[in-house]
Amino acid sequence: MFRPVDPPEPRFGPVEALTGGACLALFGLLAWAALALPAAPVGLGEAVAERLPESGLGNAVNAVLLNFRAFDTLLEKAVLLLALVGLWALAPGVAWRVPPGNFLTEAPPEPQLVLLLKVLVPLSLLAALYLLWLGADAPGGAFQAGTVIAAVAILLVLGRILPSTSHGGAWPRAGAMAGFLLFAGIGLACLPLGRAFLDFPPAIAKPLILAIEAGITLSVAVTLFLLAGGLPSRRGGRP
Amino acid sequence: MTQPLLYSLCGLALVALALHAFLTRRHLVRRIIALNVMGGGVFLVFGGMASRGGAVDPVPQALVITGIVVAVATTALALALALRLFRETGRIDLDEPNDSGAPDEPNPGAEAR
Repeated sequence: MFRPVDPPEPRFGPVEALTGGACLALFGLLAWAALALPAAPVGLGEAVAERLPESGLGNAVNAVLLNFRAFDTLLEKAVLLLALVGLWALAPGVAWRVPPGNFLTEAPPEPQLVLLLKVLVPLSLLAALYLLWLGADAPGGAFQAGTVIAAVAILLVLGRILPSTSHGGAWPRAGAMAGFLLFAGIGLACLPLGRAFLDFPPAIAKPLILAIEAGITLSVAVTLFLLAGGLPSRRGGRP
Repeated sequence: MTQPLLYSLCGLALVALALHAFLTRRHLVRRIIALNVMGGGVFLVFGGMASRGGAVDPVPQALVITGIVVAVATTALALALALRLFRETGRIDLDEPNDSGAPDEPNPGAEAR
């Protein structure tokens, strides 16, 4: 017997009224806390501005991300990898033996899509490189660049040029890990220099951070693309 | 009311609204969307609070970028869990089987997946 999948959503009743009241009270408490904050802000803005020349970067946000709080960013990459491992752990074993293919159709790419991709893909990759380079001194950076490249890869799947099989091969998996390993490796290489983990020497901080950003860009692009591929299934990535 | 405060209060309102949706909705995708809206509210609070007093504090902004990445990872994993649940049981909510009186058999549409 076929049952509709969507569960019926509850109508407004006593439980909803109670939850709504509690959420409204929470909003009131938090708003009161926000209004009661002292007018003079307490922050780390001045401390960051003071030590900015040591970071090797001109953009304060990226200096915080990749130098002052580099450990956060390193763990953030680990979280992305964990999400990918978690996603793949949920796939049935048989899904791994499905040969690569494109879930849309086996037919050749449509000419108008190919024409669009010929314009969009080089421009987008150029924009990604620009974002990566810009990140040193202006808003931009590795994560933004990686996201643009992942979007290009998804476009190529929609244009039926890349296979959509989401578990990838050895190379995509290596690419997904490269950023984290490079980041952690450079962080560990600071130890023999008499510095702490991820405490880059100011003289060579900029080249180190650029290398790390290049690695992160690659890993973010591959990881987001594989995450967007969804849960591998026995039907080879077909939804 | 200053502009940073307005952004912070809007962020807090989003958090409260999304929390209500997260607690009362049954459809798992609705709950995952509610979780994302709640995260967006928190990011808005961070952005608003960081810009109080003229100069913008870069540390909360950096934390928001990290938070966005973690939110993406969380959403991907949550959607995968919901999809697996649907493939196994044909259901997309967390209610106990049979409590709605419907027969507890997998959705035929889900078996082919």
